[in-house]
Amino acid sequence: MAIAFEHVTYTYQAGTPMAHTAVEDVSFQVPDHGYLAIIGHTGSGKSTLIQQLNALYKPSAGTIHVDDFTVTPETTNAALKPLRQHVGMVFQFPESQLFEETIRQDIAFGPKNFGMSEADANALADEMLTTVGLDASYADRSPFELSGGQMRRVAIAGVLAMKPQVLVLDEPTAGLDPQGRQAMMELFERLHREQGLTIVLVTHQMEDVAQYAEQVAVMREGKLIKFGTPTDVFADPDWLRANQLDVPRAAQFAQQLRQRGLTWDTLPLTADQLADQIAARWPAKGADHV
Amino acid sequence: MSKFIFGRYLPLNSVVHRLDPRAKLMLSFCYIILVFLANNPLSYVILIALTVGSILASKISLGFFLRGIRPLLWLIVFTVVLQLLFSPVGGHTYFHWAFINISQFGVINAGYIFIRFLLIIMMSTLLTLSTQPLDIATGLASLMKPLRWLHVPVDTLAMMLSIALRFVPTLMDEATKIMNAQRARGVDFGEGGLFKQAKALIPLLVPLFMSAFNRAEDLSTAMEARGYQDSEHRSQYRILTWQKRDTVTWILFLIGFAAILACRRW
Amino acid sequence: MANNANIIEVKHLSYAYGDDQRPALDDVSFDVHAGEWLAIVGHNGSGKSTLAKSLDGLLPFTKGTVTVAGVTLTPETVWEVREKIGMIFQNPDNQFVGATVEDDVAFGLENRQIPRSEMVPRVKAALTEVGMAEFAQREPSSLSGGQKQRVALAGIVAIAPDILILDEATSMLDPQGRQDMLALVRRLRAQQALTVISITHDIDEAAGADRILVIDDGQLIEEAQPAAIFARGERLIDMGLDVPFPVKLQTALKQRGITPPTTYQTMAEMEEWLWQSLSNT
Repeated sequence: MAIAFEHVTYTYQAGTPMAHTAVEDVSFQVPDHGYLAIIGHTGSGKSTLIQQLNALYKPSAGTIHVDDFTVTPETTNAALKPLRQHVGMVFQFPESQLFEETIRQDIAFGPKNFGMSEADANALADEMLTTVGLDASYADRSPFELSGGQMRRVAIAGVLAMKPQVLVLDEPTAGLDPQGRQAMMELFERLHREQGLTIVLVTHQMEDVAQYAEQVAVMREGKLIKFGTPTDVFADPDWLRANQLDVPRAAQFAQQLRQRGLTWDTLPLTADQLADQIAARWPAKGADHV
Repeated sequence: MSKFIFGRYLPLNSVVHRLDPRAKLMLSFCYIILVFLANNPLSYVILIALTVGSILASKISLGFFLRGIRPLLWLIVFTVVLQLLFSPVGGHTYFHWAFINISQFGVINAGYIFIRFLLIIMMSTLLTLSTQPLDIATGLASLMKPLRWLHVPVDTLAMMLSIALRFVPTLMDEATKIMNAQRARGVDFGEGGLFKQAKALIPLLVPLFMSAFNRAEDLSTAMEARGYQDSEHRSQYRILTWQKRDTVTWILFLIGFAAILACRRW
Repeated sequence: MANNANIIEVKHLSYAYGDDQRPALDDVSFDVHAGEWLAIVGHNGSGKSTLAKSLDGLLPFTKGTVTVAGVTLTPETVWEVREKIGMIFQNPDNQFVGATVEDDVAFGLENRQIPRSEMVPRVKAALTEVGMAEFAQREPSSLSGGQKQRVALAGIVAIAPDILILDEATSMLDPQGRQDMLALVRRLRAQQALTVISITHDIDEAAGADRILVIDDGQLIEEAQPAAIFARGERLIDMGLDVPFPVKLQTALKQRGITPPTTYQTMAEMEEWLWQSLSNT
């Protein structure tokens, strides 16, 4: 099991008049090399939940397991540092964390903090630059000369350079154009498939959930209100809309056809799944035009 | 840190909260002068009565208030101890060693300083707890208006102050976010020696400044697009109106002030 | 459909940032018709935001002319031109000037030296229009991105300009916020004679436009109606747009040997065609 939450609760400013419970009694499990998408309305507790994965916020109650690590309210800060390396965290608009003079130094910053030598970290930085699809010649330039999309790639390279086994992504494609979005999602899919990274993705893009995720967690007001495969979670479009969540276009479309009387074996979630089911029942080729 | 209330605003609905910020600012100013003019026990009793009365009227619990200013107590105690140890000789000397000298005069003086400090901190904390930062800014701008005659750019200063206050929470959020992002990259904030701690601030401060500059640039573009040319030629949406309760408060305080002046040792 | 009178005329517009050799805008010419909804698309860095800012005199373009409602944009007329244009930018936080919602809506009115007695009802009406009246006293830090953009829109409603420019105004919002915002702009446009120019990557925003301009590398490369643009299929990605779902489905069906009848179909047309084909068996 890569990730297991057991009755996890998190309260901000506990014990003050401003106390606010952001995550309440959440339990779920993600298998090794899994791909979990977390969806929910803005303010549903998604961001707090993922920041518990590397113990930026320790649970107020409950236990979190991430591979061989265990975090409880009593865990000491010193014990957390190896966990921070194990779980790579890509925040929303991660380009805002860049600060070094050169791109190479910025990417090498994380590995060096975790004890890697300067030379090794620099070599790794150059390698990561190409992994995220930027030319190695960028390494000596200032990160602040880049376009917004390129800066984001550098920031992601800086997280990947820590060689994490779990990669947490908080709306990684926000603000990118569709081309950049697609390239970014394909990068994460490649890391997941080829290097076996466990991915946790927070997103509002239901098309991405349908296409990439293996499990979906639905959060609402700090509680986990649904957990399952994308097919399970999207099976009830009315329930999703009632929770102010989008439905993938293919599922919407299939639902429209269902209302007219067509039945589906399983509700298709992507254009490809829909096309497969249509092709399977398509009248024999040419027959309808004879 | 979260218990530290100096400079914070506590939204409640009380007479003190509803007072005109100009009234509160001017009263606080006069009050501070009076604190320094008071010089005998009776005058301090009146001051304490005014202070405690004001806090009670603000509906802020006295316990919360005292706990909140406790962190500042150390600063006061430090000053008082200095006063106690190094004040000039006078009256009966209790203790003398090298240049350290504790005298009757010193003890009484230190006692007064302690009370003065405490009263000023309590009153100014009450001012910020019961007045939104924006109202303080508006009140200050309004009170500074006469300075226009001296060609002080009062309106521009007021605009700058208002924007600065508006962006404090935004930048605080941003700082938390960047701090978490760097902690996730293995930075330990607030650990190790002084040099290490100072160095750990660079990955926080550089992005924060970059962000602030970008925001400033966006904001100036947006302000220009919305027709902002300069601060002098604008009308005002937010205005302050002097109410009856402001006059009543002033009268009550003036009576207190007069009593202090009457009973102080001239 | 759209009125023929041009509310904006752009001729041979060029602009280069600082010491950049390559121009951000390169000899761009087009017209905007009064009352139309014009979408300007292009991938990030194509120059579309530069174009939007040039129309409002926020960037001093090097060559060309911009005429807004008969006024030619010069340093002397820039404030006159800005009277006619309301702009909403991408980042909801960085355009929120006021300390509270009502102060922010009033900001544009204060700049125009509108007397307070007139401001109060106009601020109130504008906030009611965008559904934010109950938030009048709130501070921006307690609002969502979508709510802040609605406040920005209220600031424009209060001024009542002829032209609204949305410079990627929905790109930082969640899907709900985006839909609310677009619905609101559509409603305002139906009520007032408002010309809308939206710079966008959002396929739904572009689909609702009367016309689409495609910018690439600082040049205007295409000008057409949405249906004609959407017929480009997978090439839409290069234009900075997403591929609409019907096109995705068509592509997937073609790969499986099923050929749809026409080049571009809307969702409804696609549904009808599939229903006809599949229910006959």
